[in-house]
Amino acid sequence: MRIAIFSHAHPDFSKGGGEIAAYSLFEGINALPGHEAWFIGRAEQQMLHLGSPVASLNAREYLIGSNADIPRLSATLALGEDSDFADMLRTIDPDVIHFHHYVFLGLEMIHAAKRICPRAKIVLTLHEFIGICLNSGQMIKTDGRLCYRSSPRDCHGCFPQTSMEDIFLREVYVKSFFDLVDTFVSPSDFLKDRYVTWGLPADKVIVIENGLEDGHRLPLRRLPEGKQRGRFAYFGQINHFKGIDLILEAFLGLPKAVRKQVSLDIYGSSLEYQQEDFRNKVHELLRQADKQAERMVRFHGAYERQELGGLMEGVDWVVMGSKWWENSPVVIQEAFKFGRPVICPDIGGMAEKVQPGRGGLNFRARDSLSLQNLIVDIAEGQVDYDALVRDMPSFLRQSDCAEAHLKLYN
Amino acid sequence: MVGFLKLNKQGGPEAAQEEGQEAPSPGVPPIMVEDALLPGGLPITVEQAGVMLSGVNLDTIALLNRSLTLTGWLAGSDQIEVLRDGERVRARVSREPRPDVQVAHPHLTDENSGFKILVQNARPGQYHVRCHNFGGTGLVRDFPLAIEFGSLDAAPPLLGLPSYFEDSQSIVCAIDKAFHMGEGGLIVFGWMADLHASVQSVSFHSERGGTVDVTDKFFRLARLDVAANLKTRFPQVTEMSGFVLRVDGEVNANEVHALCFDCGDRGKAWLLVDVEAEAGSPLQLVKDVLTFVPAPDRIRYSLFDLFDKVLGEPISAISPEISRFRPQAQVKQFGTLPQVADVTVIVPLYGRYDFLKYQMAKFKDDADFARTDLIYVVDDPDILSPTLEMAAAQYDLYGLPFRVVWYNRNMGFAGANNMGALFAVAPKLLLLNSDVIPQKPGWLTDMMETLDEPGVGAVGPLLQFFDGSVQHAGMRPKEDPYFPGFVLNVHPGKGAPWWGSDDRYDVPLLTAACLMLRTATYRELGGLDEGYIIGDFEDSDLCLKLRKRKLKLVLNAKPKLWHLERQSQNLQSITSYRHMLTLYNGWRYKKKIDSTELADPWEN
Repeated sequence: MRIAIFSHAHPDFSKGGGEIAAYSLFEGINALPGHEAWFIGRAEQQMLHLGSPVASLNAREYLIGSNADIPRLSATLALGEDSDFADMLRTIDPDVIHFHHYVFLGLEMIHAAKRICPRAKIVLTLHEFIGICLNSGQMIKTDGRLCYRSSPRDCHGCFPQTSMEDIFLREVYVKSFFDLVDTFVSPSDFLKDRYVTWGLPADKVIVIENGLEDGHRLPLRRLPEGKQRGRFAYFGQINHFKGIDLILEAFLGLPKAVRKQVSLDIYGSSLEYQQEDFRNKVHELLRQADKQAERMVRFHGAYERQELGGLMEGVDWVVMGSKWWENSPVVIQEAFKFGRPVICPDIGGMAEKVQPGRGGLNFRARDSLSLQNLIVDIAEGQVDYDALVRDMPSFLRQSDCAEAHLKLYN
Repeated sequence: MVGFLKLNKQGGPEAAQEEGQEAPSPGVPPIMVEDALLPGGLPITVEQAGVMLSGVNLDTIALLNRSLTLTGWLAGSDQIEVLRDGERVRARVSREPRPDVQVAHPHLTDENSGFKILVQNARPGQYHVRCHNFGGTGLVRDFPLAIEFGSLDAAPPLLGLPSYFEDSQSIVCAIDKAFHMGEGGLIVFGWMADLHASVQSVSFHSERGGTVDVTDKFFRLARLDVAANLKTRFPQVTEMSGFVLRVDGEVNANEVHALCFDCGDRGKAWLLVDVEAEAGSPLQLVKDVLTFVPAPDRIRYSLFDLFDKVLGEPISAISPEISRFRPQAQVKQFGTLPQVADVTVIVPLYGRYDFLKYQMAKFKDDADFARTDLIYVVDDPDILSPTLEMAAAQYDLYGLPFRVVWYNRNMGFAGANNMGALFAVAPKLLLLNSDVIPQKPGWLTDMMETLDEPGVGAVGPLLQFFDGSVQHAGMRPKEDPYFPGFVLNVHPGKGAPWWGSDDRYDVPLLTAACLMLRTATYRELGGLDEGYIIGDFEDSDLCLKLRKRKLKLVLNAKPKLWHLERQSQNLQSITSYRHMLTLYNGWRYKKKIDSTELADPWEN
């Protein structure tokens, strides 16, 4: 079977969860005998050649130029029957065209793919809620509150400059292309439910967790006599949706006696690209933490995926603070793979993957005091860490993920 | 305008006529002088040895704004006054140099031999000018002036008339604007406070003789600004102090024109009407006229009469001008027309060209479009370039054939559809708004089936707002008590959930937002009536023409489309010219019903 996988980015140039999952699927399928996959990652114009939106990195990997912004989601390259896009697809001649995400690529690409390869099955993996929510697809209201449903009226409340009719037109437009999709893949039930509520037929949406490269559980960190499991670590991007500020606030408010027993290591990237207010806030919290208790909080900066096992080895807990729903955070799967329980908010995709006693612990979303209480409980030895590790769910291997997809393609 | 008192010549006509007219001095209300009247016609002088010792001459007599103004010169007399019926009246006398007198009589020592006498609020009576100590003789001389109040044998010279007039004894008034409507005559806006309820008639005068009584073409308008301004001095002034009137027949813009309010015994008030040929487009003229109506909300109860009495006919007279010159349409064909087309779909685009993209996204999945002749009509020159660009991209993407028709004008809804219909190749025609989006494929087939049933003249689908509530399920006529005189269209159940089934319903009227009829019928009826300016009522007009032919109007509620109507106006407050235009169109619609050109909308 020949499968063309489109992704809104190429992981060589962008490290988001979506493109990593797409690339992992590409690798997973190619590793299976009798199947071939192509990876087509959307790229910025300056990475392409003059005069063509298509550039091949090698025989199996392409870059494609499009810039479908969040409000319009419209492709910006020619997609006609005699386009470079069409030539590329005809060359690949796929049985399955699998879109990982639609933002940046553009919805019209789905139609063009169907038109150029009428017999190919169209699969679309959903990531955030970009088709549903104009606020970067986060389903958070523009005033910061969590959003539970979308409608032209509700969304107009967040975007008063955009009329209800225009918000509705966007929805109609998105759905007119989603109608062409044979099967949707969602990495979480939570994400699926939101899209089904919005209008996708439930039977067309299959849940497949993101696959990870093979790996195994790490031994527990050796604990000195009389010490608690008080080493926490944050892994991932840093932006205002991810709640690193909330985690820092929780640590800063800990009783003095607890502070001595816990630490927080931050392995996070992109802080430098955030808005100044947020950057200043994080820096100020880090400064306060340093003043309060030297070495309680340590900021390490960015990390490479290959390092993750080594970094997790030295910690007891993976902590998340996300203020939005999340979909299926890869860091949770990574923590499961390496055998580290996760502490995360009790909403959305996080609450689906981590439940108290099964994979980790939850705190009340957006509530630093709730996280603080949890840390105190842990420091006071009130949490059965060993049981958490023992009952931790398994993760989905890349090869299993690829198999699951092949089943779906057939 | 002038409170006009007529002066009758008492003698010496030749001498007087030379001086008979005088331009008003700055600061003094302009004066209308019909005639100067001189006793004997020549100066009265006292001479000694051929040298004038004293003399007096009256050069002009003028009555303006009920002010009597006398000018002349006086030498050797130390007092001059004015009497009415033998009683001295208050007069302001000013002296000024008269170089001409000085030249003729170089021995005179008084440099200010000229005089001007102003009597305000002059009332009817026998007037005299009296000079005392005449010629150093101690004599008193009276010069009688015969003044006849209140008659009008001839119009005054019109040039130099004011556009504002105030007289506490009669009226305060002004002309704000006159619109030259070509064959539609003249529309004059202004305000007039009839302080003593004395105005008996209003007449329009042209320099070269024409006089028209416009009393019954005079319509009161609300002028809150005028009322607020005048009330401190004239408490009786109400907000209904504005007016608009119409003068029928083409008015020569090169002539001088005046308006005259006849206040009976209180005189006549004359105002200059500044008429200029209109330079802008006819549509702009209509817009300007309607924009000029002050505070239309305050005369809501009489708006129909406003159009019926004054505005309607002049606008109707020029509205054919708006569409008279059919622009040359250009066509761009994307792809190949279907071999067999069942229906031509015409979609006018104005402003929001991107609706094309949203419609196409739904058309692309509808098999009916393989046998559909789709025409977008660009009724907005400003969007032509991006529309063609988007059209090319849509064709490239979907390969769905269609045509784009354009011309360098905005013709309005009716005109755009009529232009599109010229190109129709299919036996059925669907008029479709650009903000109407089908929900599911097959809607065209459903509508066509209904149109093929016997006796059916037109078919409309169920139109819904984005939330599924009814936007259109047929329309019905309504006489709105808030807009007496008009017949408005209402959408029963608008905003409510659809109460019916997927059935067919005979309805009194259908919207043209999505309306299917036979192409031949459309052409026989002359298409949509472009006399409705920009567009309202042309759809119900078309429907009533179909009903006049005993054809049925059917709502087929099975096909459902979204209508993302946003521009549609309500008339709760009449805040823009667009509202006024709707009312003009409404007036026109009603007149066509009254004339039985259209079927009675209430008749079954």
